[in-house]
Amino acid sequence: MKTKNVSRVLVLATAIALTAPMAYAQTTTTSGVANTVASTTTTGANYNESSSSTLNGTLNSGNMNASGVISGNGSTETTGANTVTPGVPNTGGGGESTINYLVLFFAGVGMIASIMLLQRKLAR
Amino acid sequence: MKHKIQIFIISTAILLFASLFVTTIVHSAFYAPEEEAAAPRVSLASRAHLLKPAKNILSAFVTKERIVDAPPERVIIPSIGVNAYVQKVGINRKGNMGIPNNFSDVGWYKYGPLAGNTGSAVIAGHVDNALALDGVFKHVGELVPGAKIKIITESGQTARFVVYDVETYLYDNVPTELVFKKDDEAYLNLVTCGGEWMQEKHSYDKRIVVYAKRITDS
Repeated sequence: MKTKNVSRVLVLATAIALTAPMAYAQTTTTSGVANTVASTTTTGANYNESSSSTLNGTLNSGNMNASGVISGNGSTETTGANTVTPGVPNTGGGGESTINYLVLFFAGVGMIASIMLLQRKLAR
Repeated sequence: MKHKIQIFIISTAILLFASLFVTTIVHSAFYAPEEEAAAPRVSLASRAHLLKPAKNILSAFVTKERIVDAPPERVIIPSIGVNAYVQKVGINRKGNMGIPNNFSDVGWYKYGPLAGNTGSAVIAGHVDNALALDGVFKHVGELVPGAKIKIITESGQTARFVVYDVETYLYDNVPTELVFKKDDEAYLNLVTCGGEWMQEKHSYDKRIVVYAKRITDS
């Protein structure tokens, strides 16, 4: 009976260990999305400002459909608002794979060895 | 009592190993977070030329290109089997363009033009993940001039582009003005990594840039 209870606790603990990092990742992802939304709002403000700036010039010179010009020009002007030229991004991580596979290997071996050891202890 | 302590220690070890295992998989294969810096400041001087693109609007009408009014939502590159969701990215704390937070989406530089409008829209994607599995832009370097790229915007518009150049640069020698600032037409530039891994820099030593420009909708 005692062994059965310990087994249940062990199963529960392992389940928590397996799901906790996932939950952490989910939380972090959510915050990332929130940041994106906030930033998008800022960009949107730029569109609007730019739209009003360019409306007069375009209508005067072009005599074109107002609605099309407003939205299009506003979007184009986002370029104008960009005064910063960023560096190019770092978009790879493959070189870290060796160490990550090693970590996975040792974590896996450690986990299996610990489970086997626990089984032996519980069997006594 | 001693037996209970041993069981407790072993159970704790199992928890730690399991956490390490799962965390490594999540962070290596699925999730690539990056902290962004604040939005770049916009000076009044930089807005002085806001009227300039009016002529581009006229030329857009002449060439029957529709003005794009929303950020990109999907990028489709049939020749290399890419059909990816587009995240909006800004600038990271190192001053570089941000990256998508996973390896299957791409990132559009949100402080640049909308993809399809005059200027250089830039989209970046990972070449691989930290387990060396293919990222969304693994085969971008295989694109050749003439390859087609399609952007679908959040409002459902479609903008089509054709590749006219593919270049590989050293990681610290990319002509960023050309990549981000060319504004005589509507450009779409794809960026990813290539070359050899530099462990000390935690980066590949090359950057692949695919230059494409918009073609008339048909």
